[in-house]
Amino acid sequence: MSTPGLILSRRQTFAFISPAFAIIAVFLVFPAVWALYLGLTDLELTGIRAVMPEFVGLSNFVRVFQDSFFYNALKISLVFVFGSGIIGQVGLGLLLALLMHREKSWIKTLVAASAIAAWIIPDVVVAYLWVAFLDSDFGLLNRGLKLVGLGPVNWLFHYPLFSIILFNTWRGTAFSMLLFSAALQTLPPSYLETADTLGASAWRRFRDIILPLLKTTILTDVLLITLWTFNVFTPFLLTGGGPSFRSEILPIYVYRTSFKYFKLGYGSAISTVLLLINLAFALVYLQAKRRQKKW
Amino acid sequence: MAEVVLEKVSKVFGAARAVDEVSLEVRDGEFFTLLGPSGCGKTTTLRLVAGLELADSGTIRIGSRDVTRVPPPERRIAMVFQNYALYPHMTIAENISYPLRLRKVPADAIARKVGAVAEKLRIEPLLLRMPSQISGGQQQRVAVARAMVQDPQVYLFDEPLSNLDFKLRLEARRFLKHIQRETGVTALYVTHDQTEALALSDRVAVLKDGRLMQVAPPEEIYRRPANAFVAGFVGAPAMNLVEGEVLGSRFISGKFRVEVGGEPGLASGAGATLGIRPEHLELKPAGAGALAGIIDDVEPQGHEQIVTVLVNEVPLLARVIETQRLKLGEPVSLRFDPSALHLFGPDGNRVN
Repeated sequence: MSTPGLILSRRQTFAFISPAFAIIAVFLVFPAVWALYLGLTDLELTGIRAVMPEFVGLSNFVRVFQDSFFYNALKISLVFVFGSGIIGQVGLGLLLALLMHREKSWIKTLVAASAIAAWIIPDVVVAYLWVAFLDSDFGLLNRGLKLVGLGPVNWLFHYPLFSIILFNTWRGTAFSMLLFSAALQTLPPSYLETADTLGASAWRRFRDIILPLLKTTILTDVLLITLWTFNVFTPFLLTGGGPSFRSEILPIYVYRTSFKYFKLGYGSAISTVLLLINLAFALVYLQAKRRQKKW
Repeated sequence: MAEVVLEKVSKVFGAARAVDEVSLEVRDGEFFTLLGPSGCGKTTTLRLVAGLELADSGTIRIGSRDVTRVPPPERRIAMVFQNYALYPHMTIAENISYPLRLRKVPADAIARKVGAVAEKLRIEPLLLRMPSQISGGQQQRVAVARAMVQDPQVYLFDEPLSNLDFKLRLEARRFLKHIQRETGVTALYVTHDQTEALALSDRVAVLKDGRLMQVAPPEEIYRRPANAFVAGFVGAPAMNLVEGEVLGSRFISGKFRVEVGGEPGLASGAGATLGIRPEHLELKPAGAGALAGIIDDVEPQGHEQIVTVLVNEVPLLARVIETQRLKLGEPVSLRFDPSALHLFGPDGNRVN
């Protein structure tokens, strides 16, 4: 089937994009499929199993579901995703976007700039900043608490999960805020102004007008943030997953299994489970999006 | 029902004086239009009355109440926006009833009221549809319905017809006027379209750069514009305006000379602008009229022709009703009644 007016024939089009396809295949598709395959072997990083891995079928997966470390990491990941992703990034991002939406002064610029700054600084730098901020002896937070007669608290030791939740919220809120701000910008100002003349309270404006019109954006954001937060590894730079596995989210557990205990096969199997969990979230989201009323 | 009074109201945005010491009195039950080009401050003035903007100085009264600092819902106004601002996720009935639901009016009273208004505006069959499922003209009616259920003392219309195509606009215009007459509620209407302003209004205020240029009934705005700006802005095609100077009883602009008759009320040699409407210029054969020129352009309009005549290098537009064939370059002359001339002084204000 040829469409009139096309500059390139179908074959030419493929010729032009095939280099991109090739690169994607070699560097993205192949490793991903390879990882899936590794999950079905007992490959290790050293020793005889590194040279002669054996195909073990689904036994790795059977082990995953009997592994108390896996359940620990899953539970911590869920709390982490809910706390830093849903409540933190989505919730706070939405709140900030709403507060800033009709603000016209320099405060808006300042808030947006700080949020974006938190977002564009490299991971390692941010992690270091947070280690410094939370340090039990010299950290800014404890210095501040001391002024009001509190502390010091060894945050990373006593509240490791809380610390990485706080860190990841700070780290990623900008994205949600920008996304929601952009969505709010697309609403005609007259929607809210009409509500103003009718005397709708802030809550009614949100519930009756903004929330229904932003539903799709919120769903999209929740999905993206959930997936990203599930897969994020940076908290490792703060706590290393400890102390005693209390902040060991799933990616850190995968890392520990694969590169500390050298069980690459088993680590790949856990990764596959992680992938399936992500897939499940995506399906729930797509379902919700399909049920969205069109107007 | 109430009058709206503005006393020396000003609003400044940054360095721009959007509204500059505007004083107005909209009478009870009047259809009053704010007319002007974009950026003239007409919408800002309307938003000041609505309470969506707060005046930097001056007083706004609705009825006998000073509302300058009163929040919008307590002003008893209802606003209709250019884009209608219907909520896309609510049905038409939900949209219309929204103001009443916010006021916690009982459900049966809401149903009765929405039904009555929908009947009056002939939108009953649409009540269960979504805004995206109805036409622009119908959306406009729904927006008016939502304003009506509020029982306001004043309707505020912000260019409510400019999103409609030409035919619908004429229909909606008549409809709006009819509804406003019937309800007798004071209406403050903003538009940049002078035809609309003349057709709808009891009185028109022309604004430019945040200042009032003239406040008068439509006929007077058209017949006796207070200054050169109003003269040029109101009327289509626009009034012919020629800049020059007055010497004795003559208006002179280069080789262009016109006897203005009587005492122009201007010092000899003073700068002046001469105006005459295209319909007051009669196209005559060469030598028959006071001004000799040649035909430079002809624009057929169906029922008439807009003819550009070059008179001593000054282009003048004339409306010609006849369907006679006119040739470009043909020598002709223009005849006019001196009483139809408008003369504006160096400050732009009318002097005759």
